Amino acid sequence: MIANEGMAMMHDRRADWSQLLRAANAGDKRAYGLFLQAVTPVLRSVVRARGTGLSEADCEDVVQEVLLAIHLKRHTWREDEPAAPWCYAIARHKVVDAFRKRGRRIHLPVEDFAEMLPAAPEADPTEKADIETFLTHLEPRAAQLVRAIGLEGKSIAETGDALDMSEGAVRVMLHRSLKKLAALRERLIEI
Amino acid sequence: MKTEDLISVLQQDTLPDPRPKQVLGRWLVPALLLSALFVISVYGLRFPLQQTLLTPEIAPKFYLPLVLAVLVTPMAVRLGRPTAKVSTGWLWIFPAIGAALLAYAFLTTPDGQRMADFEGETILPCLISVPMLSLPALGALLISLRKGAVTRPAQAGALAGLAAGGMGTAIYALHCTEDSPLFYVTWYGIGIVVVMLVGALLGKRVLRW
Repeated sequence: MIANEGMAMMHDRRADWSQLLRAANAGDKRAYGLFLQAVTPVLRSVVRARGTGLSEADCEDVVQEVLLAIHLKRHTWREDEPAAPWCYAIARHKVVDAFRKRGRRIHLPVEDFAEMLPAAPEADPTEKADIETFLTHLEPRAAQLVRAIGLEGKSIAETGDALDMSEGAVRVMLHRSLKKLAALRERLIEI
Repeated sequence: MKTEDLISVLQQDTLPDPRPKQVLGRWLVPALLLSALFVISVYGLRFPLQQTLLTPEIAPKFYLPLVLAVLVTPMAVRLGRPTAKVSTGWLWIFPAIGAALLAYAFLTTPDGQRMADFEGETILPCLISVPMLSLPALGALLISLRKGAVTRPAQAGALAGLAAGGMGTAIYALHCTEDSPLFYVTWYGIGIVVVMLVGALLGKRVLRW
């Protein structure tokens, strides 16, 4: 009975994620947010199950690292393939990589993701994961821009007004900053 | 920054990156032109060229690597997607065809001539030129794969090397006048394998993300 429910959830997950990601590609930001919010608890479960010995904050850093990777590689998803296996493949690669950087070798079959039920929908336990540290490595304006959108919840237009930049310039700087953050994590992570 | 905050940042970033295929289009053509122009202007094309292109015993030295490149390039590009799996077992057909050509040449070449054909006069230029002429294409393939999400970097790099090796070799064949399969199967083959290994090693380093 419980197994059946699990199966049904997994089945729904595959369909839902694809639908959300398709809508996101068509420009629906809300759908994209829902997609990332749906992926996060599954990631969190896998990372915690594997990361025995890592603190909650470290686990959440890995989750954020994977989310950033999924975001920056979203153009490698083809709309005719289901989104969940694609997501798991990226997540598996990044989780293994993240643990390797932290000096651990883990074996992580991709099936773990499919079988993992999402962690309880609790909030992020960490007030201040280390993405904050990485922000200080960006040029000040870029860091300000990312904080305005992330912490103050400003839109692209509002951020542009606040920083006296055009919307197009804000978009480009945001995209570049995210790429830079991913590259910085790749280089600077140490525990 | 909390994870929810990060998600709201990601949500606002709507600029998509180009796919590996689109990037490849931009880089591969100039890369091939570079190698071709080098052969044309520095080495010189073989004259008459139709000797290479139309003589049955000679033609494989151009067409075999060309077919290799045409078939393997899409396989390499496909590995830019994280879920991609490619089957590589059938690629053994290329060494098999090479072996058949070698056997044929061995049987049809007179005893005293075999060693001379095998050694030719340009082993070193060939072994240097094939990798050199393949490098621009290998660079183009690796640059485009970097835009993807490669989960098997060594395999993707090796296939990129194999494809690029095919391209470089086909270009070199337009210059080279060593026409015995005893020569070209052996030394071209070694050159292509070298590029494949270089591709695998480079792939492991540069295709990480």
